[in-house]
Amino acid sequence: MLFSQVTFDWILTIFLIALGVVWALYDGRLLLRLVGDKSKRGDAAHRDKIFGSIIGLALATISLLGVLNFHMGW
Amino acid sequence: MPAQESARYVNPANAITASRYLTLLPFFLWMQSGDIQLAWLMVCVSVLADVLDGPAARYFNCASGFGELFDAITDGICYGFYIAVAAYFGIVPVIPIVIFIALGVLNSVLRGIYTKRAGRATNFRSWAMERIAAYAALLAGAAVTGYSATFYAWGIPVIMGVVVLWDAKRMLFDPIPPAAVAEPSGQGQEESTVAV
Repeated sequence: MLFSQVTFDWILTIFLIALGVVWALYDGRLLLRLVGDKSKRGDAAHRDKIFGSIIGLALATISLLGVLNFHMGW
Repeated sequence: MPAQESARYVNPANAITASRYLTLLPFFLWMQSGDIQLAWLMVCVSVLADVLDGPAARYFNCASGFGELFDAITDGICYGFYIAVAAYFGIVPVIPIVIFIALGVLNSVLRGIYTKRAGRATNFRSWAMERIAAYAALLAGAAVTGYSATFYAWGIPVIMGVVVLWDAKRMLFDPIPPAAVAEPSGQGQEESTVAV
């Protein structure tokens, strides 16, 4: 064992919170930029990027909810 | 094989990608002996190598279609292995993992159909599926440690189901865009058919 179980759980908690926040910020910023870019509206590749960033936001939310799930036990 | 041809396959970026396979055996042995933290460390090493191979390809100017394909296949094998082993040891529920793998296979079949429709080797770039690959890395880490493993495991079939439906519409019915150099994603910048 490298760490005690409690320490290891907190390492994972901090790691997952950091990952979830950075991921949400990245895809949130990307989504705002894409939605604001009216010149490419209707373009299939542009639509796919928007969909991808929405999925990214959903997955970032799930990763943050997983932390709550672990600590609150629901 | 000429030197230039062999450099397409044997280069620093592909070496970094290939090194990820070295984590599989120690991962399994540590899982078997109950050294979960060391097994988790192997997942972290694999994720780190996955992050580094793209920049290495650009730095050493050795990006290729083969590298991109090799990277995608390695993602599937390594993350799939970690998650499957965690399911085998009962840390993560089996049903969502089976659904996840089945959807991955379906996605690969759809990519094959898309390639036939296009009539050329072409890269089907799916931004959403790239997010799913990143989430698979997260799930692998969580599955090994048991950290909200059930919660994370049930998240993936739901989201991936939506993504496969979206990509299926694009691959089967939407018009195929003209051949163009794809934007760099992971290792490599050339066109190729990549199954995430």
